[in-house]
Parts: sequence; C-alpha cells; structure tokens
Amino acid sequence: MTEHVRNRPTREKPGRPLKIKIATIRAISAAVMMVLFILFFMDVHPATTGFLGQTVAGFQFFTSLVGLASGSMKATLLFTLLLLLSMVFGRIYCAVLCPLGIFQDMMIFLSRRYGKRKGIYPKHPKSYPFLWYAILMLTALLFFAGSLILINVLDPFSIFGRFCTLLILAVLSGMNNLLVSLTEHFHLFILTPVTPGPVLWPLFFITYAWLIMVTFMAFYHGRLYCNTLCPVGAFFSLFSRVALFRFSIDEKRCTACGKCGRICRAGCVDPVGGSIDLARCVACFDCMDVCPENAITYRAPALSTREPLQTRRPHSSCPAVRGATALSAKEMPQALMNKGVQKRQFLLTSLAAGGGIMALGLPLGTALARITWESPALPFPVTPPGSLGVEHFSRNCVACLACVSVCPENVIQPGLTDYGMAGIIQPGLDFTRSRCAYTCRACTLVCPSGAILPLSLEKKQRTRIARVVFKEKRCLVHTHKRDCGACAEVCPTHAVHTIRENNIHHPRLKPDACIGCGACQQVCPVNPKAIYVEAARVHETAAPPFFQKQEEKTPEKGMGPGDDFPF
Amino acid sequence: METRDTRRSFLKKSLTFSTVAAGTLIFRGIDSLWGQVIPGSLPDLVAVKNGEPAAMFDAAIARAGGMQRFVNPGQTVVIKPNIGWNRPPETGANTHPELVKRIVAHCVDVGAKKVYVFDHAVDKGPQCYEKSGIEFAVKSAGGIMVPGSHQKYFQKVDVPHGETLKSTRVHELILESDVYINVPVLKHHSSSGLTLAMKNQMGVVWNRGYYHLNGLHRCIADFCHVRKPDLNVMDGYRVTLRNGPSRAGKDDVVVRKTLLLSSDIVAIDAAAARIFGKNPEEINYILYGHRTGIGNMDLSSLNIDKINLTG
Repeated sequence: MTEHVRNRPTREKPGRPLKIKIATIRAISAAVMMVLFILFFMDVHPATTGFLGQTVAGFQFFTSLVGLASGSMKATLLFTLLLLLSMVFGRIYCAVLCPLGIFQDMMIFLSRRYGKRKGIYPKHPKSYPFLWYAILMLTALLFFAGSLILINVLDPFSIFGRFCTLLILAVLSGMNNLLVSLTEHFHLFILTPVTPGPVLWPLFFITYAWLIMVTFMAFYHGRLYCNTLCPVGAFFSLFSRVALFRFSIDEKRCTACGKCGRICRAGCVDPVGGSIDLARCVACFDCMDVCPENAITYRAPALSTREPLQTRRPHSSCPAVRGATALSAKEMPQALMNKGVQKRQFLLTSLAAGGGIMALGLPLGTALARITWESPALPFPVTPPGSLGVEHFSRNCVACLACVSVCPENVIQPGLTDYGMAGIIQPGLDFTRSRCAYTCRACTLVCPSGAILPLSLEKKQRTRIARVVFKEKRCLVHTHKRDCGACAEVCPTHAVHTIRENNIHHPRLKPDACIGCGACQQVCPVNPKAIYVEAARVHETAAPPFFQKQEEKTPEKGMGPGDDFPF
Repeated sequence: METRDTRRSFLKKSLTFSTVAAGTLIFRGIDSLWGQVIPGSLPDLVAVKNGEPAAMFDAAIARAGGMQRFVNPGQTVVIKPNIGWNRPPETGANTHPELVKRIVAHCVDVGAKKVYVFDHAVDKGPQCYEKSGIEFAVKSAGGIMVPGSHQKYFQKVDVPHGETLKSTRVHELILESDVYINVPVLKHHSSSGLTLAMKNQMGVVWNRGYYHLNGLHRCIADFCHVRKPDLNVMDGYRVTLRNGPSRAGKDDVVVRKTLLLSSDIVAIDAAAARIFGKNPEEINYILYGHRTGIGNMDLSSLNIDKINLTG
C-alpha cells in the first residue's frame, strides 16, 4: 500500500480563507451532548435531570422506538425525526447523538494523543457485516415478539447509562466519602457521606467487562464496536448507504496520500481504492478535515447538477464482499469486473441469513416473551409509581437505569431476570433497605422511554404500586404483648396505624389508603416479616390518607390553651 | 414607589432587628445575674407557657441559672433535636427551628467552642435537615450541622446496667462532646403513645430496629445509662394530639405554646405527659426510668418553676 502513497510535504495554502472546520463543529456538538448525558445520568440537579430525560435522552433510537410501540405521539415524532435525519445526513446519530459513540470518540481522542500508533487505524479495516446484521435482525425479531432482551443488553444509550449508574457513580460516591473523612478530620462538616445502594455483582461485572471491552476496542480499533456489535449502528447503516448527503472522494484531486484512511475512526475509507464504505461511516468528518487536497466531499448527488464524482470508482457499499481488506491497485480491475457478481452474491447471502435468523429468532423471541407475560404465579417486582404496572413498565423499559441513579432512597434497584428473560436488567423497588419516599417523584420525571410516565406529587401520593399484607400471627405486638409499632410510625397514609388496648398499641390496617411504599416492610423487625407489600400488577388509585378521629379520651384531660399547668 | 417602599421596610426591619438584639443583650445580662445570685434554690424543672419558642427558652434558661450553668467556655456542645421527618415546621413533626436556633445562640454566647446539631433521621437525613428549617436556623446562629444518617459516625458502646439493651452503636458526638442537650418535641406517637425526651434519644443510636424487636420501652429506658443529657428542653409549642408522629392531619396539631426545661429526663417526660393529658405511668419508658433511678417522675416531690409569659 505504501508505495502508492506519495511522500509530499503538506502544502500550506496561504490563499485559503480561514473557516471553521466541519469536523470541529461535529466534535464540539458531540462534546456538548456528552456533557448533557453526564448531567442526566449523574443526577446533578433534579430539575436538569427531568428536563434532559424528556428531551435529550428521549431523542434516542430505542427510547423513542419503544415509546412509538406503545403509541406515544412524542416518541413517534422523535423517532421519525431520527429516521429523517439519517436519511438526509447518514449516521449523524452515531456522530453526535449516541452517548456510547461519543464515549468511544473520547477514547479515540486519547488514543490519537497518547497511543503508540497515534491514530493510525486499521491497516486492514475490520468489518464483520454478518455478525452486525445478524444482531440487528435478532434484536428486531425479539422486539416484534415482545421481548426487549437484546435492546436492554445492547442499546448503546442504556449501556452508557449503566456505565454511569453502576460504575462511575459508585466511584464518585467513594470519592465523596473519602473527601468527607478528610474534611471531618479537620472538624469541617461541609459534606454528607452517602451510603451506596446494594451491588448486584453479576450485573456489575458484566457492565465492567463491557466498559473494558468498549474502551479497548475504541482505543485500538476506533469505532469497531459500533460497526460490529451495535444494533443501532447496523440500523442506521441501512440508511447511510442511500442517504441524501454522502461522502465521496474526488478522483481528480485525490493523490492517494492515505491520510484519510489513517485517520478514519470507522476504518471505512479506502484511499487506494478511492472509496468510502458508507455503511460503516459514522459521519465524523475527520477525513474531509485531514485531506490536503480537499478531495473528499460531503454533498447530495441527487441534488447536484454536476456529474456525481465517484461513479467510476469501485463503490464498496457492499461490506460482505469487500470484507476487511482495502484493495490494492493491482486488484482493482478485478474488483471492477466482479462487481456485478458480488452484488448478486451479497443479496443471496443476506437473504439466506435473514431467513435463517427469522426461522431461529421468531420462535425464540416468542418463547422469551412468553416467559414473562404468561406466568402470573411469578412474584413480580414492584414497579415505580407512574409505570402503570408490571406489563407497561417491562414493555417500555430499556434498562438505562436513569431512575436508579436519580432515586434518592436507593429503593429502585436493577435486577437481572426479575421480569423474566424478556425484561433483563430492568429495575424494580427493593424494600429490604429502603422505601419509596412519600414526598418524592424523582423517577417519574426522568424516564426517557416512557416506562415511567410523569406524575404529579398529588397523584403519586394516591398511586398504589403494591398492596399491604399484615400477618398478625407473626407480629410481635401480638406474640409478645408489648409495643413495637415500627410500621405505623413510618406509614405515610396511616394505612397501618395503631389502636390502644390495655396500654399496648396494636397495628391495624386500612388497606384502601395503602399506596405500597414499602416503609412498613422495611422497618418490620421480625423475620419473616409480619407486614409486607405485594406488587400490584396494575397500579391502582388509593383512597386518601386515613386519620383516626380521637385517640381515647386523652385530649380532654390535657392542658388547654388557657389552662394552668397540670402539675 | 416600589424602591422607596423597599428601603423603608428595610430600615424598619433593621431598626426592629437592632432593638431586639439590644434587648436580648440587656435581658441576658439580667439572666446571668440571677444565675449568680440564687444558686442554691435552682428549680428541678421549669415550665413556661404563652410565648414564642425563643422567648420561652430565654425565660426558662434564665430561671434555671443561665446557660453558663451548663456550658463552660471552651466546651463542645451537642444538641439533639427531633429532625426525624422530611416535614416543614408548621406540621409539628420536628422540633421548632426557632427554639433550636435560640439554644445554639445561648451556647455560642457563653463561649462554647463548637455547637454541633444532628439527628439520625427516619426520612432522608439531608432532606429533613433542610425541610425542618433547622439546618438554616442552626447555621445562622453559629452552630454546625453534622450528618447523622451514616453508620460511620456510630461507635459501639456497652450499656451499663442495661436490662434489655446490653450494647448499641451511638453517634460519636454524644460520646465525645462535653455537654449534651436533648431537645425533643411533644407529640403523639403511634408506637409508644408519646414521644418525649427519652424517646427522642432513639435518634442518637444506629440500630432502632433492635429497640422495636426486643422491647421498645425497656430499651429506651436502658439507653439513659449510656449518657443522660445534661439538659433537656421540651418543645411544646405545637403539640400533635393524634395520628403522630409525622403525618398528622391539620386538626391534629394544636398550638399549645409551652416549653419545659430540666436536667432530669424522667421528670421532664412526666411533666410533658401531663400536659398532653396522660398519666406518666401510662408511658412504660417513663415508668421504667423512674424505677431504675434514672430520674424522678413524681412531680409533686419536685421543685417546679412555672412561668406565664403573658401574666
């Protein structure tokens, strides 16, 4: 390859007007988006998080897709907008909207700066289209069958969310607690130590492994992850091949210096063959920026009156055929001759693969979906208020864990297969250490996919997410005839309250008022719990809080406003 | 127009403020005089009524010999109000912020080195500190809010003579500070009948579940053997009559404008129970505290000073 790269010194062009490079604009936009995503997932401020959840985080491929599937107008609009964007501009989503993509760009930046190869990416650009499109098809099939399993595992937005929630937030709270110890050593009480929630080790390790993998792949292979494992990337690649605006190399200007091929983060530019694999191109504009001859253009051939520039070049929009290797000049005529055959071959291959996956995937998808929805015996987790019930929640949650990071009580915790395989990683409420705070509705404001719908505090305080169960036989007030009342003390609606008999306070239920916040279950000191809540599969509206009218005869004997002290 | 109004109101405010400040200084001067003149006849319990929280405390502490009787210059003070709930002051779920502020101010005034305030809240700690108004009040009076909802602050101690509670984890400030002031609020409580000074001390331990499991009243009384407060101030300004302790209805909370002060934790609880309308014997932890010699619930044998601020 190197013999074809002319070693010319880069020419300075004094006449060239100073202009802001489009690659810089792209990088700045991506950086701004990254800041917004971090503000969102790190729960810097509840209002910001809520706003970003409804806007930036809602403008994601899968969050809008599941919203569309459950008939949300807003999500449908956003999804359509994403489709239009990619039809016009190519994989602009991967360039500036995807948090995991931008995360990889940060690693690529570090790699270019500090890596040994200084950004000389693939000598042999790697591409595994079969795997890539197989993942896309399986994800789609499972989604149509009603299972979000692959979306939850592979959605780049959710993956990034889990990096933040499960890893970075844990590190930050550790650092916070270190700072607390340091400042308190000097008797300064300016920070509050935080107690991190429980760690789900399998999920922690999977997320950690994924972080290492994505970081490693980005550092050494650019956007290989996006073009091999990401279903969103695969989906948008279908559009970027035929998008209105496309990158192309002007053969008249190109000197085959190879700079574009070396800088390309997706490994999709073949400077020797003079072609760009538009399917893998993530629209970062670096090649345009780096080209000393201004030979790379980004324009709409359909709108242009001029002759399209690269028609005579072997156009390798067919990754199955082009595979990983850049063609050398010797192979070029061969490639041109084979073009038609290759196209046909690719079509056949994809058809066969599609059929195979369909045959395999549909029954699998249906089976996975069935596990969740047709087993009423399973004790489902309690879903957050605003989620309407287990089914709505599990059908719409993409497991980004934004609600987990925003929950001040740490009561929302990720699970593994709590909702069956179909709803892998989706979170639920865990009352062993905490309860759903009566005055909080943080989770209802942040959900980007509409699994948890916004809820006013008044409505939230009347939404029953679970039903209280009281087993008096286990209650120590009953068994030991002495006061406990932990449940009644914390019940925000007095659905469990106490009545006094023989100077002992006995817990009693008013189940209509119960909203299922789980406070009673958390504090009940006996084991097994004498009072606990069971998930309401469909959330209900609770009666208003219950107030006892008169506590025995006491207040009459008490000291009135004008009375003397009774002692 | 508007600016003039603002300026005028500002002037008025600052005038009022300085008058109050000057008045306070003079009043405190008299306080200390009393404290020095009649040290022999100090009351066991002071009961005040018909005043705002700060004014009632001023009157009570003056009658009890002034804050300098309890706090020496250079000492560290820990104040433990009830900040258990994420509820605003008007709900009466937490101690009145103005009262806490005044106590902090008195401590600072007599030369306390540090005045710490904390509670191991039932709701989320930082939210309770803010919503109760106590964080702001304490900071503005020169006190320090210390977190109380993290396990790291709680040190394991043995409970001498504990019948049920043999050992527990206690907030280190309770163990380390020179002076411990307990500032409960008088409320109905669904599990113990009433929450008073002794019950308020459940907020200085880590594991409250142990109390509930092994005998609430007995553990509450046992804890007094770890450290009795040097001073107890009962906030009876707003009293929750029923549906306590935290989410009573609007009609359940009445403005009673009372305040009790005593260094006897059992006596102050007995008096508070009477104000509420219960016999002290009905509240088991008061009974246990009396029997085990922690304090005296027999009010007739005590030297009680009663103050009516309107009369």
